[in-house]
Amino acid sequence: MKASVTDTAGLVNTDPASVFNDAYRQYSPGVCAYLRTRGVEDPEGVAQDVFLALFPRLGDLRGGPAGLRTLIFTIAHARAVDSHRRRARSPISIEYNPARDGRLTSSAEDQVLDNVTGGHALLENLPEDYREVLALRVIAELSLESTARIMNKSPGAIKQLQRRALARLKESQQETKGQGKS
Amino acid sequence: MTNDFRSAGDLHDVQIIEDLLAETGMNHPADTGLLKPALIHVRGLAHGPQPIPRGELAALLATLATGPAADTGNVTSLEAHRRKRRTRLVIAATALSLSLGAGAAVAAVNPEFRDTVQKAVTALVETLAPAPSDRPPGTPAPVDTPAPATVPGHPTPPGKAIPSGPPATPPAASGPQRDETVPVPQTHPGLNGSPSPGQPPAPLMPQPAVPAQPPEQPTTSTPPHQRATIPEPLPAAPATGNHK
Repeated sequence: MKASVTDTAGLVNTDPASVFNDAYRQYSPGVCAYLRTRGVEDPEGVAQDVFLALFPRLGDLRGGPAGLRTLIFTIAHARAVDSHRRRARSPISIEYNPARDGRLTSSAEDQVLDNVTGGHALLENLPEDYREVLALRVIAELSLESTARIMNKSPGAIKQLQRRALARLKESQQETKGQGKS
Repeated sequence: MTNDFRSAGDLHDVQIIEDLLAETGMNHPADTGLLKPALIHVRGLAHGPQPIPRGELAALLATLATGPAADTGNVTSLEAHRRKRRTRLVIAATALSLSLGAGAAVAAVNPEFRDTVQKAVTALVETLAPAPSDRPPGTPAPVDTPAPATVPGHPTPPGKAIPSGPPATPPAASGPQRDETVPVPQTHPGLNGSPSPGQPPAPLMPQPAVPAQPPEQPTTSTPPHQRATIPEPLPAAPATGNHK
């Protein structure tokens, strides 16, 4: 049976090639989504850079699947920070998205459905640090300590941050529901 | 009842969200009723479409899939090479700047070094420069000057000596100074019509290139025996014009 990165037995005795393939198959959508929530311009391209940077470091990997996830999203966080810095130095280029074109109008039903069901739409209304902590905890499935390490904060600060983020998300959900009823 | 049809992945996702809500103390039914569906949608982003590998990643995945020979070292060597090249560039730039600084310090301290460098540069310039010319650039070629103008037997006005040999300083391009050494009125007396004072105009010129010698001219420095030897080539001038 082929070893999977989700196995709890760890990755010590696993072939790095198969670990890399499985990691890409399993975590690349999450990395892509995380980068998109962070506002990276080309999330797919940066996600591929993340995995290219991951491959040489697989030999030093410790901590099993949780360690692999932490390593992947640590690299992704660093790439997102790089992307933000690069974007701050260069003019912003925004790809045309018909869904965001203010000259177009969609049906009210579609709008409500998009707001409720779209995971990105849910996070877009939140401040950046709220978005990041929820993405790391929910999408990346990281522990409190790993999230604190990546965001360079204490676990207590992360606890408070995620609590505020959830409260804000709850408020926005209540507003959405209120708009849907009225 | 619907929970029974959930897959293991779905249960895992629900478990993540319930743990988060419990950890933050927002696991009351009023909170979970709003937050749980929203967080399940957020969690669904982790199961989105897999980005299609491109470029280097596609090559790496293909290499990993095809050959067991592929190992981590083959790929990391690129980064190591880049790092090595960067280090080499830094070392070369440092060595160049240090050598330049050392050379400048030696040149500033040692005057012999400067002399040696100056001699070497002078020798190099002399070697590479074209043949030395007495004329400064811009001076017309000596073809213009008629040969008899500097004939030793030619009379020279008093106070103006004919230079014997190459002039120490090249003649300037100005007209009057040139007329002193090249007596144009003697060579072409019929053209300008102004013969020099005290010199009778030549009646007939067999060849304009050869100036006619006046029978009597005041000489200042030319010995008389030279005057006798000069007219000898004159008869030969028409002969040279005839044999063609």
